[in-house]
Amino acid sequence: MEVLFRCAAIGIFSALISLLIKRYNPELSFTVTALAAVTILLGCRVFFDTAGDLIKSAKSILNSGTTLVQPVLKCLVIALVTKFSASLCKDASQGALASAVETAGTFCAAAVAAPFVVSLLHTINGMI
Amino acid sequence: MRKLILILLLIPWFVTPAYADFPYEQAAEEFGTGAMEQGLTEGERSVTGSLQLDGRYDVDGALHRLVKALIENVKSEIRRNIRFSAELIVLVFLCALVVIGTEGHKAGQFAEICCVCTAAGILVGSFDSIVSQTTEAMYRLSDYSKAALPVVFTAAAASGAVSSAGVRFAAASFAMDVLMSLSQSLIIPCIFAYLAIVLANSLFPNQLLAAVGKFIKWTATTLMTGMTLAFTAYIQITGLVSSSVDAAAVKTTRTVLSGVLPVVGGILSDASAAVLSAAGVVRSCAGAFGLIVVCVICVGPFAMLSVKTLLFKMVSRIADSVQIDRLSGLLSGVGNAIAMLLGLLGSCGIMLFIALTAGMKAVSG
Repeated sequence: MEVLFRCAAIGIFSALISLLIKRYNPELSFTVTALAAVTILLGCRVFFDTAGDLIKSAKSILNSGTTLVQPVLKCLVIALVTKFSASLCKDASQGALASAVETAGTFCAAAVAAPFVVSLLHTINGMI
Repeated sequence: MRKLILILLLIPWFVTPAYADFPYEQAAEEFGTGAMEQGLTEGERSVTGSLQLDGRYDVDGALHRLVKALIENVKSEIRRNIRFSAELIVLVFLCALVVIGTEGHKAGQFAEICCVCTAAGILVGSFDSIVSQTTEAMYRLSDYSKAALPVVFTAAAASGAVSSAGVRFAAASFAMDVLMSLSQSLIIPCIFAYLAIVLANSLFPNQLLAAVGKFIKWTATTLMTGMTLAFTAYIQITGLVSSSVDAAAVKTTRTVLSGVLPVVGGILSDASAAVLSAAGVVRSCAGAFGLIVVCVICVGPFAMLSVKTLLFKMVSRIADSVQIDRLSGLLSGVGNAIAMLLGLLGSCGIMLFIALTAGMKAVSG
């Protein structure tokens, strides 16, 4: 709970400062926003251990644990990085860049899932 | 005078006892009832008990043991599938966490596709073994029908139901052969096609695929239901017509016997009634034993298929509750495919049941 309050405080305070300096120095304002976002994400690293334990438990229960969990985690990381980067680009009023980042993220996730899909299509072919 | 007294004194020494007995052993040998107990495993024999042909077959005891065997099978299937169901539930929750974490981003959908592919890999591997166990049970039922039906219908014919036994035996044998051919050539391929469509639909949700899957499911279900209903109707109709013919024939024969032959006609008529009665008892005992054996053969696969169907439906509901539509659709579809296998085995068992019951109830007057 304390981590959440700190993240909220940093977020609100940084947004206020960013608004104040945006009129005079938009580049500095963008930098403050990006640094605040990175600080908030780093502040959540205390939860990574809990998430890691959850993933280890899931791996131990699932027979194909490592085979499945890695691509799913990759998709999760791809989604978070894409979302974060696209949002920063939109904050900098660069809509085209944001779209390009989102498209790149989609292709990356598709590439991660492709081997699974091909394997399943072979299975379906075998049934028919 | 002395000779007469001597003869009268010696006569009791030459008197031998004689009493009436039903010819069960001879009847059983003639009808080949031994074939009904062959091919059963030790475990199955412990449930069915041994076939007693003099009316002393313990049906209540066999039913009691059958219910216990069913409960034990269900318990062992639940224990065997606990880890399997835990895997599926963990998969569902992992997928749900990732989808929530990605908040509708396309990468989240690809994570869901990865989970669907993993679930499909787990399910397809186990589905092959389920189909082979079901097919094996059906072959056993078919083989047992070839051993049991001749015994029951021969006894039915010997007890006076000549026409109806012949007609019903022909219908039952034909129906079992048709069902086995249909299941191998059409119904099981339909079930595999349905499963393939379900897998494809879970990867790429599509209304056309869903409609084709529903049609295939409807076709397989209608075929099984139609065959069972047609067989039941045919047995009933042939029974109505031929039973009255057999009853009239038996009465006429007994009347002729007792009327035509002046002294021994009545004795012959009563003796023939004893033979018919013995054949009737053998028919009833063999038929009851056959019914129990059919249940015993089906109890293992039934327990396995029922537990797996319920398991998949339960996990599908869990996936539905966390709004993982792809996984929910996949698990529900696999549950439906297993339910169709259960229906197929049930059709085979019910048809054999009806055939044996028809043999037991063949009216002889």
